[in-house]
Order: sequence, then C-alpha cells, then structure tokens
Amino acid sequence: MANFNIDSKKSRTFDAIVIGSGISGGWAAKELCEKGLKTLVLERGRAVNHGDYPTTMMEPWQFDHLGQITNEIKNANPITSKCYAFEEDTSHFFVKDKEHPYIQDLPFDWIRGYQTGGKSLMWARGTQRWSHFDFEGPDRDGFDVKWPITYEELAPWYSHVEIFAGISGNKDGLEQLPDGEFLKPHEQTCVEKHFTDQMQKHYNGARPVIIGRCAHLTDPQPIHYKQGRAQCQQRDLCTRGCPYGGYFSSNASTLPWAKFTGNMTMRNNSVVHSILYDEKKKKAVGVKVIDAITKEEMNFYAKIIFVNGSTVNTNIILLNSKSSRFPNGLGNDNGLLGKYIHFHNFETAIYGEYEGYLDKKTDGIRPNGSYLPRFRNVKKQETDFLRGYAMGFSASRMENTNSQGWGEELKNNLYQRKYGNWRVGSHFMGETIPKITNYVKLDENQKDDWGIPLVRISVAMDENDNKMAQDFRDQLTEMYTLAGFTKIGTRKRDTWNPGLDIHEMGGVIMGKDPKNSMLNEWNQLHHCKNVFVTDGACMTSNSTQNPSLTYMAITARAANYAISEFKKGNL
Amino acid sequence: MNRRSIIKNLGAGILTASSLPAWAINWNKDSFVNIQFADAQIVEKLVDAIIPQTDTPGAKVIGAHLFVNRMLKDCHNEATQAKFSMAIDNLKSASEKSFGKPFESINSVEILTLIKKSEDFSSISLLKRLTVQAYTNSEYYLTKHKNYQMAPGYFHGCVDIQ
Repeated sequence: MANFNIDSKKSRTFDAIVIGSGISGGWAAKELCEKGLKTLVLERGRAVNHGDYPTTMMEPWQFDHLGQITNEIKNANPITSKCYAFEEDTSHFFVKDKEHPYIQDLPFDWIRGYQTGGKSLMWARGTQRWSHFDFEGPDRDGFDVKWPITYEELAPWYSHVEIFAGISGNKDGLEQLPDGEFLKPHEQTCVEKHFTDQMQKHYNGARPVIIGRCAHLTDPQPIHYKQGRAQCQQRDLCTRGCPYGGYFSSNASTLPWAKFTGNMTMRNNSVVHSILYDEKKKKAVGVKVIDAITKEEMNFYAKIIFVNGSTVNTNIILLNSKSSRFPNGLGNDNGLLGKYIHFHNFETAIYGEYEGYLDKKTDGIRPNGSYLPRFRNVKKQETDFLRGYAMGFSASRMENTNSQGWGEELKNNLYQRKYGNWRVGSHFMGETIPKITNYVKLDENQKDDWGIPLVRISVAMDENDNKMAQDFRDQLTEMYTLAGFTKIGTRKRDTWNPGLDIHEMGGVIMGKDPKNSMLNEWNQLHHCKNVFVTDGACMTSNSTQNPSLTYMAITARAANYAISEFKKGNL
Repeated sequence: MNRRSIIKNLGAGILTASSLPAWAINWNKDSFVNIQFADAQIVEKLVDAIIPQTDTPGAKVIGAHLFVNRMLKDCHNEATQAKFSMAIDNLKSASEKSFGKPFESINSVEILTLIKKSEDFSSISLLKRLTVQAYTNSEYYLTKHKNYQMAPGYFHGCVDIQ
C-alpha cells in the first residue's frame, strides 16, 4: 500500500511545475511558492545546496596547478574549456563536452551548468535594465518580430527583482540605461574617472562611462539578511560559489526563499523529456521526466508549467513535446519554434596603457568594472549597420613581477615592489539581429543518454556583426586616444563562436501576433496558455545589456500573472 | 595517503603544515613514480639554484620543484616534455664536461653557469617561468610580502602609493 501512495498520481500532482532552477527558474519558484502554489522544481543536474562550494575557501597556493586546467581536461573538453570562467577552481560546475553532446551545423560554443542554480552560480553578475529604446528597437529597425511589452510595463518588475536580488549601482540618470533600485555603488579607479571625464568633455555627454551595475550586496538590507545572505566580502572569487551569498544566485537567494514557504518540492537529476498535452482539455497537463541516473521514466502533473531550462534546452523540450494536435512541437503551429536564435557578439576587444596617475594605485578588490552603455544609433540611425554595442571598461594597476636574472639577483628582483603603468581594456557586447535562418532543431536519428533527440544548432554571424565590431575598434581607438592612453591594441578572437557569449536567446520568442511569434505578452504559448517560457528563449531581441536581470523581471511578471489567472480558475 | 595523515606525519619540528604549499603537502611517493620525463632530484637542485634560500625561503623550501614536475606532467604536451627531458640530459653531460663531475655533485654557482650557457632556451625559460610562478604564488610570498588577503571587504579606486 505504501508503494501505491508513493506512486499515485496525486503525489505527483502540483499546482505548478518549474523546469530548471537557474536564474529565471529560481524566480518562477520564488514567486509561485510565495503566493501559496505547491510547486515542483525539476533540475536536470545534481543538488548543489547553498554552501556546497568545494573550492570557495581555498587559497591560491592550494590549487595543484595554480588555477590552470590540465591538458587531460582541456583535450577532453575543447568547447567548455574555451569559457573564460572554466578553471581549476570552477570546472566542477560546468557540463563536460561528452556529457550532453550536440550537433554543430555551424560552430556554436554551448556552455552549460547542470546543477541546482544552473549558471547563476558562475555568471558574471552584470545587471543593467533595458530602456524604452531597446524594446522599441525591433519596430524602429524593421526586425521580423516586435516586442509585445514596453519598458514601462516591465519597469515595476525590474524594481521588484532588484530590491530582492540586491543590485549595486549609481543613479546616473541616463535615458538609454534607466536607473534601478540600487545599493551603494562600487568606486571607479582614478583612471576610470579620468576616462569618464575625458569622454564627457569630448562627446558632451553622448558617451557616458559609469560604474558597472552588478548583483552584489554592497550594502545589505533586511530583505537580504532574511534570505540568509551577508555583505559581499569583495573577494572576486564569485564563480566558485559564495558562502556569504554576497552575489545573487538561485542557490543563495530565490531557492532557499521558495523552500522556506514549505510549498517547494525540488527534484534533482530530473531531465525533462517533454511536456504532456491533453487533447481533450486542450492544455498541458504535466511533464515527462527521465531520471538522469536511473533512467527511470515518470510523469508529474500541474496546471501551470514554467519552462526555464536555459535557451537551447527550453527549445529542445518544446520541440520534443509532440502530440497529434502539435506534431511539430508544443504550440508550434507557425513552424517558428527553434527559429530566431540570437546572441551577443563578444568577438573583439581593445586594450592599452595609461602613463598618468603614477603616484596612485588601487587598494582592495572590486568584483566589478566600469561600463559604457550603447552610444551608437540610440535615438536615430546614424551608421551603416543596425543597432549598437555596450562595452566594459576597466583600468587597474598591478605591481610588476621583475623576473630578470638568476639566483640571488632574481630573488632580489622578485622582492622589488614597483608598479607598472595603468592597464586599460574594454570588451565588446554587440547586439545581433534575430534571424529566421538562425535556428535549433532536433536530429531525426541520434539521441542522448536519456532518449531525447540531439539538438542541431545552426547560428551564424553576419555582415552587420562584422561592421559593428569594426566600428567598436575604430570608435574605441579614437576614445582611448582622446583620453591619452598609449600602446593601444585591438584584438579579434578568431576562435570565438556564437554561444561563447553565454547569452544565447530566442527560439520561443514573444510577440503580439501568433503568426510570427510563439509567446504572448504574458509569456504564455499562444496556443497552449498554461505553458509559460520566461528564460532566454522568450527574448524577441537581445539589445546590449547583460540579459539575466531582464529574464528575472520578465519571469516575476509572468509568474504573478499566472498566479492571478490560476486563482481566477483560468488555467 | 590522505592529506590529514601527511600533516600528522610531518611532525612539529620539521615544517608547519601551513608553510608548505598544497602540492607539497599532497606529494607522496606514489605520485612521484608517475613523473617520467624529468629527474625529480635534478629539478629540485635547479629550482634551488634559480631562487636560493637566503634569509628568506628559497624555491625548494616552498616546493617549486614539485610544482614544476606537476605542471610539466599535467599541463604541457609530450613534445614539450620530451624537450625538457633533453634539456636536463644536456645539463647532465655539460656538468661532466665543464666540471668533471656529475650534476648531482655540483653546487648552485656551477648550476647557474650551466643554465646560462644552455642552448635549450625554451625549456630553460619554461623552467624559470614555472619556478617563479610557484614562488610568487606561494603562501610565504603572498602573505609575507604581498599583503595578500582573500577577503579584503573593501575597494578604494585611487590611493597614494607610499
């Protein structure tokens, strides 16, 4: 009889199911549980509870290879090892190449984190709001699909997630990068301030340089202590996982909060095979799960399903959810599911030196840098490419290691303390145009270890991307020169492929018209209203900001809509 | 042998566990056997000559030779490893030729003479780079010399250099 109870459909029935526990899934879980919905969170990876961060307190000298990845690991993982954050202290949080293979119809570097919290453990924590220019962009510039929501509609939800997550930043008063609910900002360095001032002087405010906005508790509030988090200790070892909860992750913030309500059931090692569609009820009724370890197959049921599997995996799940009503994937009447995959272009960078402020240095550690919001084509079209790019900017000064000589001479040199010039650098984050020709689809024959078809990825850069990257090199060279920087050089990363930005988006995009989009303005599938997609897959366009904050705000907004529809009995 | 029992076996009089880097703490004879390409004792003599013990610890005490061996084994390809072994062999024969005695019996001054004369530039510079890397990332160097703090809890963007 005990078995009967455990196996009964009732024990596998919830109000809501959230697929994925990463940055957006965590938010769906938090909102749904807080409002009283019994919620099952399905995570395909292993459990990583807050604090389960094995390397987090290790000193630099305690790493066998001082942080470097061994050849054995590198050779076994040619894709994952391209990721800047994949190092000796973090490699256990990244999916290895052989673990979950995919087919590259065109080169695509797919970087993944399969564990509780997903990539929210290792993310780069940049959190900027979009502006109305960004939401209006696709309409102004004639993209295929336009956003069904405005900045004004999302703004209160930005506030909602910022207050809870804890975002540090300065109120800069910029129309192109709206202010948020900020904790105390980090300080710019002397040379970053110098750059800010010089750009103000030369461009009359058209190219502001501000301190980065990031998800760090510089000044924790009662709401953060209530989550069990504490002030950021400024170690900048974030990608190892933070024992203080100093930066926002699902593990430190939304998931413990959801758990505390008593309404969350978390199931790890749960690979979602597909969403179950009931032809009579004309809605989704649950999900089919394959246990990652035992390969056992089981169904779970709910009235609301949030798909937050991360962009490509969310696409795979929907494409694999076939029924006689939806033979080409759930909600896919227009054949656009999996199409319009887009990304941020990170393939270029600039660096230089500054020979001023030689009597100054920095002190302490800052897990952040300065930031330049998009200045190209913001208010009107002014170049021969569409859209624009944001940039990081950092200026730092290190002691040089003088390793001249041998023996005692070398040793004396190593003990010298001399500072070099200030080193400056900027990375490029280019907006790309969502195109129907960039897609993911399921392979017809090959399957993964869990019996799910392998995904084929076909995403290409285009001439607009190349022109924009060249404009970055030209403009930043001019700006660095005006600021008096020297030894300026630019870099084009020839081995860089789409995906390595780890900002892949689209495939299940939002839009007003069911003819050319998959989701409505509340992130419901147009043709299956109790399925919500609120991770990167829902994004109609990508703008230039780091996307996670927008996923969080969109998720919180959609979840609260789902809750109100649920309570009205509409779902 | 696990790390805890090694620390116990070190004994109070020899070295405190905290002054020894992890790769030294983790070192044991089993892992030693796997190192095929370079004569470990020779590498130990080399790092000792490159950054000698003075009134402050040298590269040998902080375990740089173990790091050099480990990095060569784990983070460099077979071609680099073979070249490195060749460079060691060349140093050995140069010792016989220049000083009429085996490398094992020459002193640090003599070792540096051979290093400076060596034509195996890439291997010698790799050896030096790894030795310096180990030394400048050691607990001794970082905490006693660089004011290393794991969690400073602050950042000031513009302060005077004293």
